[in-house]
Amino acid sequence: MPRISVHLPSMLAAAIGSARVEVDASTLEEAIAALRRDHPRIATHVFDDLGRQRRHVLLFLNDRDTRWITPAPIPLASTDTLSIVQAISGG
Amino acid sequence: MLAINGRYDVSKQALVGTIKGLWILSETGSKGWSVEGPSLGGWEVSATLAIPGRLLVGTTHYAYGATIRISDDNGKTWTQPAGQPRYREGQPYKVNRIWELVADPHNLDRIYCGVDEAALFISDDRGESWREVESLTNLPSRPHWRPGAGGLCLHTILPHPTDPKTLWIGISAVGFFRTNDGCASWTALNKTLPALPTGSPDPEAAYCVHRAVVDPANPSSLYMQFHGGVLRSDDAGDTWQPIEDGLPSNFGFPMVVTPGGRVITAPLLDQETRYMKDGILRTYVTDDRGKAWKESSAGLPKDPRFVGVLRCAMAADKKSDVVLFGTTTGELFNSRDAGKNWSQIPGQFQRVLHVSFA
Repeated sequence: MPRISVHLPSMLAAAIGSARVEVDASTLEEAIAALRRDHPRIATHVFDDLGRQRRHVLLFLNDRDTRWITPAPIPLASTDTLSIVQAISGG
Repeated sequence: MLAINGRYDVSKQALVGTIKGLWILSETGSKGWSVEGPSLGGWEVSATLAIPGRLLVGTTHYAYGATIRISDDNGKTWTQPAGQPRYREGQPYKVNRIWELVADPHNLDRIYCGVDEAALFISDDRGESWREVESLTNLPSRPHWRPGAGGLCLHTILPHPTDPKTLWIGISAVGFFRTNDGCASWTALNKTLPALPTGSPDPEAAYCVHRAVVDPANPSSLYMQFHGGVLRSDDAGDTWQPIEDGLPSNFGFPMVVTPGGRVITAPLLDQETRYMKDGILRTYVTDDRGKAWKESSAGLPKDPRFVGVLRCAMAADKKSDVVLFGTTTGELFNSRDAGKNWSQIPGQFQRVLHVSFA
């Protein structure tokens, strides 16, 4: 199973104490599930209490916004990276 | 960053949460205050608390949400505990903001946390993990609770000074509640509060409490700044009567009580403008339990300042006459004589959300 790096923005890296974590996942869906399960301190900033991805947080697979990648399941390779990005929505 | 004296060299310490991080103030005797910060830059620090050997703050960010942070080295480094105030599975509500953190005076390990959307959480391990007070969320009126302008916020938590089972809470725009059995059940204390329209269909839960305090020397006496009213209760919150003589208006947010029983407020002109009368920064005090209020603004600037003081942005030290408040434009003022005389702490900070004493 590929090991996928998840890169954190600086504000979350400071909160968590690490700029990068890893998840084992064969698909994007598995990677997101692993992020929720294995890294709850990060997941609370990415997903709200109802489980929805926060409105102003983006999750990129390499250079693609995962909100718009279809169809599932999306296969992953060990060279893929996930990046948590704050949406440019500050005005 | 300004220098700070060593932790054990200072006589008093205060935490100031702003929309852009935390500032730690240390009183240095006759030299005034030294200021260190900001910590947690970029985060709104919406609640602050110091307990022995630990600082806790509530941080909020418009993108990343609300979390508790802990520092065990007086603010030099911070961690985010794995346990956070979160509703139990299946609840339709979210934790949008940490509004208040209060230590239990009867249990050194216990901390209470009030949030938006309104709920009360308890930690029994100094903030490492949290549990929802389900008895509050389960109140029959809960589906009809409506937010005020600041949100649906549980902003006031008042542990009884001597009875560990009694606690009061205030929720905007819902009302004031008391538990006498350690949070197992709650009594609404709203019947004699002013009835103002909030949009809630439940008349029992439609009261916009802004802030309240309990007299430490006489815990049956409570004081409240309401959305449109300043009130006192002499029966632990069961009934309330207006105490507004001498105030320029009955609308405002902060209210504190000193160890000697002096109550201090900073009224606004009205609910529409939300700045102070004539644009002049003023505080008011009462020494006779609200029979009469008098202005007590010595030392405050007299030039135009069309500002306000948020409900959690004024604090009175529990062990001295030191009082501190911050304005909506980031100015800090302190008094060493329970609000009789004020002086500004040098510097201009960001909008002050929360102030507390160590």
